[in-house]
Amino acid sequence: MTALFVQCYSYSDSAISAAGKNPDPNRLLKPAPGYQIVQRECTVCHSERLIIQNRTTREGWSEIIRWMQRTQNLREFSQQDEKAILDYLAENYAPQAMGRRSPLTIREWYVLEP
Amino acid sequence: MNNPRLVIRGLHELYREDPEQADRLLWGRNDRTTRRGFLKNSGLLAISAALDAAIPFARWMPAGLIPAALADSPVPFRLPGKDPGLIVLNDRPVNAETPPDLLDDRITPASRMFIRNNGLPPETVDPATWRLSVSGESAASTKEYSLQQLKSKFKPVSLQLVVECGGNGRSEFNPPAEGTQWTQGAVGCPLWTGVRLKDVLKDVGIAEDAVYVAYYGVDRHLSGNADKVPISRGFPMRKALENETLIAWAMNGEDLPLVNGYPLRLVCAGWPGSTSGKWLNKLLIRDRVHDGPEMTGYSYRVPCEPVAPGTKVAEMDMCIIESMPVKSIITFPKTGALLKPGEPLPVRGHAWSGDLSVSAVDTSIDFGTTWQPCVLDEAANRLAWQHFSTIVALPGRGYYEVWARATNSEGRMQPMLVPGWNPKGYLNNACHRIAVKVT
Repeated sequence: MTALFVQCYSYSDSAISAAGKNPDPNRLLKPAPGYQIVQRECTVCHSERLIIQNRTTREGWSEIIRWMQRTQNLREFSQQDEKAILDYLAENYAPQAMGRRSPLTIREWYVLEP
Repeated sequence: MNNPRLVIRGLHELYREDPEQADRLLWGRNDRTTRRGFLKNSGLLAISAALDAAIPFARWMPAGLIPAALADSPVPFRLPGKDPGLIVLNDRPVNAETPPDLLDDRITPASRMFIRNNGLPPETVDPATWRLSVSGESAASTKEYSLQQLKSKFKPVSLQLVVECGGNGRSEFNPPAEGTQWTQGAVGCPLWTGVRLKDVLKDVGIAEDAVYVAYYGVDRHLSGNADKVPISRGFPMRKALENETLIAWAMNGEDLPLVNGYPLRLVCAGWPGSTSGKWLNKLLIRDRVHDGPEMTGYSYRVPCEPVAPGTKVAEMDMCIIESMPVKSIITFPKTGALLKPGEPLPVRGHAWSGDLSVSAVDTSIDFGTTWQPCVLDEAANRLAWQHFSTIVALPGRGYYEVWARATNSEGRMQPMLVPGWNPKGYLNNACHRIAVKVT
């Protein structure tokens, strides 16, 4: 760990292991069906990193798209494209169960020097 | 973020493993999908900013090529002027937060001041030609100031002031709130130098019907549309006329860092950071509540009345956030400390409370069952954070969490749970917690 710390995600999805090698190293999005269209349409304006750190329902993702179309110059999608995008996001970036406060995550334990 | 799959890596490691992937991660560079040549505009900007120089032929720079100036430098890569320990949450626009242990300084160094951009910062700034205009429905005149005029015409002041992103702590809300998933580090308290906003407003003349002051800056919209303003917010006259609301050009005695607003910005201490407009070139004195981008709808607003988690709230029932809530952060030790039995544990940090002051900070090592008071210092000036310190005695071997809880001058305390859910995940002031083990 030399320098600028970058948060990223690693995946053990079967899509990668089945192919033997990640078919597209050029992405952060989970390599599930439909990631290409999400990558193509969403990264015109913002990084994939903004997508992968968010989690919401299909309805929630739909509202985010509407908001971007209303206020951020996002283009209108065909019905088919929009369905593909929402299918992907709702499936792969759905809310996860968590309590009112999660257990602390500790990157590394270290000896505190007195 | 509490994500078990999260891994953290440095730039050189990323480039060594997979240069094209590293490009995407750091710069949003993706020549396979871009329709504008090899480099997307914003990726190019980010690289130029990191190099502190424009790259004239960057459009033809192949994806995956680490800029030689970075690759060859013996110094590890960094965001220009920023501590390499900052966590980059988003690269386009750049958003980076400071881990709690790097906020240990009493006066936050410029290198450790978090970055929150809504749009793309300017590529180049010429301080000699920079102008700040002031006008609006409730301005008695229209005036324009050069940086030199601001510095010479008005009395300069230096104040230590807290700037905290309204969404600091967003990552803990459930159901999750959309947006940058800040943890604790979107806050800082550097020493700002500038002039009082009220002095400038009075020079222009404030009409009796003035309601709000609005800002504009030269940052550009992410969509690339030059006609779209990424963000233009403001605050009511009572806040504008406070002694601590500044038009600032310096942080800790030096020019503002470019990513933090060089050459000129507002500092609206204790209110959401989005009120402290950066790259400031225009102010309006308005006869109504400002209606610029990010003022309306759900942005920087919370439900006027508390709602159950996940509730759909109508826009008309959302209210603009003003003063931020009481909060504290433990800056020493870093979470994860291992101690020997009987070893005393020094704990310290900072506490702040929007427009108010902090009257007490307590720590607990038993999940909030009992609390012990800390030593609490006075603020350097109004709206600066206050330092707390204590020595904690841990009773025996095992896992402990140290929690800190600040109480403000009105007797309000930080909650131990994540407070009121709101659609956009603002105002999480739950107690900061660190883990320690006696082994």
